[in-house]
Amino acid sequence: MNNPLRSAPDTRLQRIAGPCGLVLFGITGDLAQRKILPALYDLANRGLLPPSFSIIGVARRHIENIAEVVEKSIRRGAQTSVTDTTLSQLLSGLRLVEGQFDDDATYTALAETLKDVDATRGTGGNYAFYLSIPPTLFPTVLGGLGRANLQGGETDGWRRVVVEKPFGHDLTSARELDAVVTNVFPPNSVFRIDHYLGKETVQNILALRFANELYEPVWNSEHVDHVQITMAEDIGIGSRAGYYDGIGSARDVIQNHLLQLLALTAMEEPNNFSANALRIEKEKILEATSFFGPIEESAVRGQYEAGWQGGQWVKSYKEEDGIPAESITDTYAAIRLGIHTRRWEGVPFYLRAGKRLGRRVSEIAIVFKYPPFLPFDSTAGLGHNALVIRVQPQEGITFKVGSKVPGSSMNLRDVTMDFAYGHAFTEYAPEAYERLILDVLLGDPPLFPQQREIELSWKLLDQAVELWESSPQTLGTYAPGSWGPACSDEMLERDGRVWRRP
Amino acid sequence: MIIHMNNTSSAAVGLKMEELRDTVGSVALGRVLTLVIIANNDGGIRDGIKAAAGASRAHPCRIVTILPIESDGSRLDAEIRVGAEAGLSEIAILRCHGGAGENLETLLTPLLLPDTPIVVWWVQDVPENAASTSIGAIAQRRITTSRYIGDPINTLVRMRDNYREGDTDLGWGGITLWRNHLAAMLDEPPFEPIERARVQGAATHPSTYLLAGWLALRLGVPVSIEYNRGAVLTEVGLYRASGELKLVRPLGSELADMMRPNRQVQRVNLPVRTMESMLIEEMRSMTADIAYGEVLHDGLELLDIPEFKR
Repeated sequence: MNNPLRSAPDTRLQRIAGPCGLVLFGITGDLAQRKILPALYDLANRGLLPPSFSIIGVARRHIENIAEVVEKSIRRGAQTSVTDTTLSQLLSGLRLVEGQFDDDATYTALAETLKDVDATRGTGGNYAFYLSIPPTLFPTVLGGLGRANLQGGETDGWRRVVVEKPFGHDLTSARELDAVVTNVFPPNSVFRIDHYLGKETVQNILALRFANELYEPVWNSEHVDHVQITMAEDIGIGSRAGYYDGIGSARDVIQNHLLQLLALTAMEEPNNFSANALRIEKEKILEATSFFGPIEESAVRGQYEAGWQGGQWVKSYKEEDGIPAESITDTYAAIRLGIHTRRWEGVPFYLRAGKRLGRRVSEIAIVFKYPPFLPFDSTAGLGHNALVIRVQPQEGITFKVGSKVPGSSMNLRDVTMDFAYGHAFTEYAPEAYERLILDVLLGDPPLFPQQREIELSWKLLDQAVELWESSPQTLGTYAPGSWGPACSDEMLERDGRVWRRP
Repeated sequence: MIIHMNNTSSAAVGLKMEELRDTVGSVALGRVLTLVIIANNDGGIRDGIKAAAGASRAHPCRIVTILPIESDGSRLDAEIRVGAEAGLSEIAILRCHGGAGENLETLLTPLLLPDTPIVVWWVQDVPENAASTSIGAIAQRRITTSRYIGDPINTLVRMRDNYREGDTDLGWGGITLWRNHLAAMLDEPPFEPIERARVQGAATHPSTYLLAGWLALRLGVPVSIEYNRGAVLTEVGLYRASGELKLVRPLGSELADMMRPNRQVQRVNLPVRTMESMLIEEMRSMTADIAYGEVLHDGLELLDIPEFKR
């Protein structure tokens, strides 16, 4: 199977996925329409999909003109310019299988369609099954795929399955979900998408840390005072009430995105960038992570109240449509973690996530200690050095350093060096979903979290959730557009620290 | 914003650019390289800057354009462009009359960004020996444009004889999309060996020979060349036991038909590449283009063309 045209070191030839197709369950769903289909188009437009690439949609209800639906979603969501050529080529490989997910006939029809696509388009039996459906339907669909023997044998190409977060809502459910998936597909064929890991900046954490000499020597408890990881949204829960209530921001965001960011920030250098080497380091760091001090003082949460935010009156969480008035779901959560390794012992990691906060921002801030000695008469105005990795918006890095205030006396103040990837790497960076879907088709798994990481994350989070559920009276509240409840500020105050204003 | 500085020195131009950076806040904050464009006339400046300003959106850079002008009097006239005209770059155009165009390296030095790679692009030409020119010697990457010369076979021979790591030519970058699709065709079953191949292209275009040389080198089979009446590639055929794989792009079309035995014909995007997209690809890597060097060195001589034989 060696392709002679790809045998030499050739930096221009692109990694194009081999012949394959994508079976999309929930093709009319929100995620498929907003992200997956546009990303597939962009991949095709960049020439990264094979000419044989086919999309096989599976839908529960009848769709009059699927090509029109797909085209509309692409025209709305594609990052690259939409040309008729690429569009018609992509749509020429579009099929639709209609049927109930609990009906075996659906899967028989699907198997027939795949055979037909193999014959006419040359997909070679290679398929990824993308489950863009609520997790409650996973057992039904996976069971159907298994009974129709669609998970593949040795002879007819590869079969992979793609699932989206949430990967359960606690440790037990995450294990159940995993059992359901791995009962049908072998673990190395399961791709769990955490779109944060597909972001350029997140991958750049690894480049920043391991491609440079400058940072690694100070990347430890000797020099780092503490770390703050923030994911703030300025919007409320919107129409997600059904999903959000009872889940809350800790389970929605901290368990996956923020703990993955923590792992990438804190982990040791992997031996290489293979999926396995990365997984080993991430698991090691998550295993060594626990709450910093007593859990009662290391986990706080709150709910947004009604109020004026940025010139607009917004409802409180309890007044949102579909939310029960007695709900104790957290719309803001902050936890304080410690990592028990030689590198990190004694350094708190503060993680916070919330809705209706000051502005939309995700960032990792490494806050450094003061120098042991400062030979200046006055150090008023001098803050901690801080290296901030801004994940969104405006991906980039800032570094806060002390400098002299111009003038005849030696006064100090902080200035910020600001590096924006937008300037240096610009609009040619692919969208997260593009990168991840291409990796699925190429069978390249480094950017996908593995089951063990997910279980370790839930083990941590479950402790906080248990505490919160047993003491509902400690639920704080905060004004919309602020930076969270007072109990969160107090948690840092006790340590003599403050939250950065991101 | 466009600023003209007549009868000046490149040091003055460099100072002015730094000053503009402070006062108008040039957009090119995180610049990754200096691109030097060497033109033969004003048309070359125009085309080169257009492509480079576009490419700067992928690779923010400083662009320095040099146009030597034969003249009795010696004078350096400069033009600086920043802002909307310059994409994510800042542009200096140096028109060097007479002696001002001598010793180009010293002309350039005050304008080079500190400690970042230098890419030099002969936008209409291939110098006799790119790597030994004064600018070529200090550049990491030397991009030539062989397709305007009109004598592709002898030009390629000259480029081969003088090849140094870091050399590259837009005639090579121009066939990446063809190569992508051809390689993708062989990614798919049946995995039979190729027995022979043919390339149909313009006799006057170096890409025809580079693509044929690449196929000959990688596949190790005879590759024949057919000449069309156009200016670009139109067809590639790969013969296997089960039939011929064909990639066919009619003259004037942006689409190609991918034809395979017992398979429906598939349409693929295969536009003639713009200078901008080729330049974006060139500037992505600052290391030697090994594949290109191998095709020049070992691929061309496999073709049935006497000039290429050694």
